[in-house]
Amino acid sequence: MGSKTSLLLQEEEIIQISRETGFTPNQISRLYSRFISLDKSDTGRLSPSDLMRIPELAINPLGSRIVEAFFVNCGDDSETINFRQFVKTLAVFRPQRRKEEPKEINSRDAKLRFAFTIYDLEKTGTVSSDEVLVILRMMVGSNITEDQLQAIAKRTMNEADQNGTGRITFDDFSKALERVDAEKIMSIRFLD
Amino acid sequence: MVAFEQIFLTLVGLYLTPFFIIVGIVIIPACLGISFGVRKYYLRFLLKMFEFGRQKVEIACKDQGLQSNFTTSQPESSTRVSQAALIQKDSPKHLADVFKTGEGTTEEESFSEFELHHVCYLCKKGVEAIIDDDVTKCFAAEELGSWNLLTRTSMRYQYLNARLTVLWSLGFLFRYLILLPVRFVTFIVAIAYMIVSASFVGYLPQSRENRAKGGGICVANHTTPIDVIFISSDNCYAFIGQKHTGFVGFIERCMSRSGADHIWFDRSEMRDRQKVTNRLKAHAEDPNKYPMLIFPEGKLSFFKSGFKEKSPTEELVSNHICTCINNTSVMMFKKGSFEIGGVIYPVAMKYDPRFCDPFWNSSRDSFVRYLVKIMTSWDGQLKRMTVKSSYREKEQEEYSKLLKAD
Repeated sequence: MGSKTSLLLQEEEIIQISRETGFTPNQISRLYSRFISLDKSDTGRLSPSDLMRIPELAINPLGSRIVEAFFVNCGDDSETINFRQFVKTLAVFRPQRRKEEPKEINSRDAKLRFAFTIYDLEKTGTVSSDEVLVILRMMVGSNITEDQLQAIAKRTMNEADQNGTGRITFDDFSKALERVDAEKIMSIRFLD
Repeated sequence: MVAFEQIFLTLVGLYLTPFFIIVGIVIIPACLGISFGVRKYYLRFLLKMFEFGRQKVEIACKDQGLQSNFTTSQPESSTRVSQAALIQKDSPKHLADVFKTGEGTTEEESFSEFELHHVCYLCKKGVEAIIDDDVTKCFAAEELGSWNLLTRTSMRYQYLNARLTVLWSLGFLFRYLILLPVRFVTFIVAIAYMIVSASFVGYLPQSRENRAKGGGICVANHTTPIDVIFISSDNCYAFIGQKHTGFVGFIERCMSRSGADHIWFDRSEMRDRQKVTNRLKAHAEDPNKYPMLIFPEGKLSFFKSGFKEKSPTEELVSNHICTCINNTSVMMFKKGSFEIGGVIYPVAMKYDPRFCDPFWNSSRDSFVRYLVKIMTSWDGQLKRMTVKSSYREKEQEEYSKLLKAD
């Protein structure tokens, strides 16, 4: 009891994370309390099941995929993430401001990369027709017949797969979303 | 041999003396409703000590350049530190709503088929939920406005200052060496008394109807499993609850034996809403029975309101009875409990969080560990389940309706 002084967030850490992510120190310490309240095991790390315990996420049809993409995005093979990785992934969803210097972390590419990971079930770097089908099925549940779903998946593949390789690469993906305002769709307004 | 006997006797004396002292000082006066007024002074002293601790923490925080999140002016405001939202959520309730209003799509054509980018909306919504959601907030242990010298706040204050450390250590010794044994003995006596008496009371003729207002329903918010103890301290109630296993289950079975018509439901029985309603109705309409005590704060009631979904009439409280909410909020009551009929007596309970953290974070601690926590706090004052898949299906259905229109 009471031996976890390391759980306190150090000033230097806040500054460093702020530099990396563009969040203000105040936002970071508030995200930290959120992190602590999600961390039911008191280990200073979050596991996928910690996130799936959020009811609003659990009812999201793609909830499990989002959690996985969240952990893949952290670039670590371990099962859990620490606070820094947590904030870094959230930073992907920071809106881009014109005044600021463009950052790698919340660029359009980073946002699309996150969405692409949702499809990339096998973590191969490309998306097959089957993977599109799985995601589609998650989104509609049992409300649409399998035949129709397959037809939709096939059509989507044909449209997106420019080189006819039978798989969607990330380039294909970003080309298919060319006309979509992904920066806007995948940005969350953080308050200070 | 003699020496052994002597050691034995000394041990017995050592353990039994405090036991009887406790029974004599604590339990018997409490049964007779006598108060020595010690409690009032004790509370006053505690509050003074907390105030002292708060000032020390503040000074120490300033010295170390840490951010102290206490409100300086008001030691009384022992509520949440910051309740403002961290992000501005602007995702619609359903993914499909995006396309209905035409918002967010760059293309003029209205939504007609699946596009790869549709996952983006769900992504955003999911990540928004990770950053901030209303339900988890209610289930997280409340952050105090002032430190109560317990180690259970997420900030570890006791290392800040030598005097605070001493104060904390003294408090620790007092809580574990004096409060815990006293409460533990009281607890054991009470359990033993309940088990013994409950077995006999069942055989006695019931003559207490005139005391309890029969046929009514008492509705209360639910923070901890010990809520029932406070409520029942001034009246007799029939409890409605879920059947538990282990220690809680054992107590439940003992209570039923006393013949006060407590109703315990199985998980499987709960699914049969009609049956549950009928049983509760029958109980409520019988004026000879004790008033029912219901905790209708379903964890999921939040979602119900969020989705503006009419709950079916059979949708009943009992599904989520025994959900414990933290001390700051009252969740929307499920309307099922109000459909049974009978007189409703609303009850609201609030614990003073300065003296202990009553919220039972059942995802973290077992019931026994929770009891230990409560018993070692200054003033002895959740079922976690996954969300029903039907709510996810709702979202899927909305989306697929649009695909069908194709």
